Amino acid sequence: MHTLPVGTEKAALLMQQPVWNRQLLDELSQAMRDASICGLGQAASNPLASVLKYFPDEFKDAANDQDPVRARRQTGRSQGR
Amino acid sequence: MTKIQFELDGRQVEAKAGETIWQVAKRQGGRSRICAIRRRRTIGPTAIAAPAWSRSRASACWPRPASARRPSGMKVKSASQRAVAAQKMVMELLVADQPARATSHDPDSKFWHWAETTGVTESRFPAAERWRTDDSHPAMRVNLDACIQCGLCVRACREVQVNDVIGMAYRNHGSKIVFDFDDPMGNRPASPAANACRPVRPAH
Repeated sequence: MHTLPVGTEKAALLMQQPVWNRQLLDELSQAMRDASICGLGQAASNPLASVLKYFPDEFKDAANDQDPVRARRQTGRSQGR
Repeated sequence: MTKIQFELDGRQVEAKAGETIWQVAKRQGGRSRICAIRRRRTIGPTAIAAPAWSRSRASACWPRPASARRPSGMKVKSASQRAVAAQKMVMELLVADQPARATSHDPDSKFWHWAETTGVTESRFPAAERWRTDDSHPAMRVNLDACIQCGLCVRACREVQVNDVIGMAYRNHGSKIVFDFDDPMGNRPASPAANACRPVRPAH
């Protein structure tokens, strides 16, 4: 068992959910950085961390248990900035 | 004989030249490892045993030999907050894909013993698809649904029994323990008689 294969698989499964469990994803990311033997595992969560950091508005409907993308389409809001 | 001094969890310990950190820790009463086979060469451990180095991230470096070339003052932390959190998370990842303990192949396996020791017997992660059990042989089952790909069976067959018929195939989370070219174990009627792999399996 290696942290990189199992960790990335679990991250992908969590990210396929319509609403992301950010706390669990953060814990998983930190564990992969700390416990991966190679640099690939240590850096694997970087894209996840990046999207959460630079696109926080995409996830702010998590508390309302809504798919933020679907909510935006329903209200007709622009996806641009 | 040269002795190497270093710090382990706040205590000054001493290692003989060539001795691994894990051997020193075990002598001091530290945690054992899933991936160890007695009297066999030491390899990189599963991340469950990951300690932390000063000036570095938590690292699965238990087998690193204490060496006279390393400067004194090396500090190893096996029970820091980050190390313990990493260990718990790794166990939680493994538990996610295991059959339910109550109906598992062996509820008292080494794996579940380590889950209890770590304090993680349930998981918040979704279970992934698992390889199916190979029950092609009338005398021995290969419960791939409980396999954690630790590689101990491969090492046992290769280094203890010296048969080398077990391998780790495919890639990433699709890795699979295989016999020969991923053939059913029933094609190898003599395998159970060798029996080097069975005792070392953590999750049975």
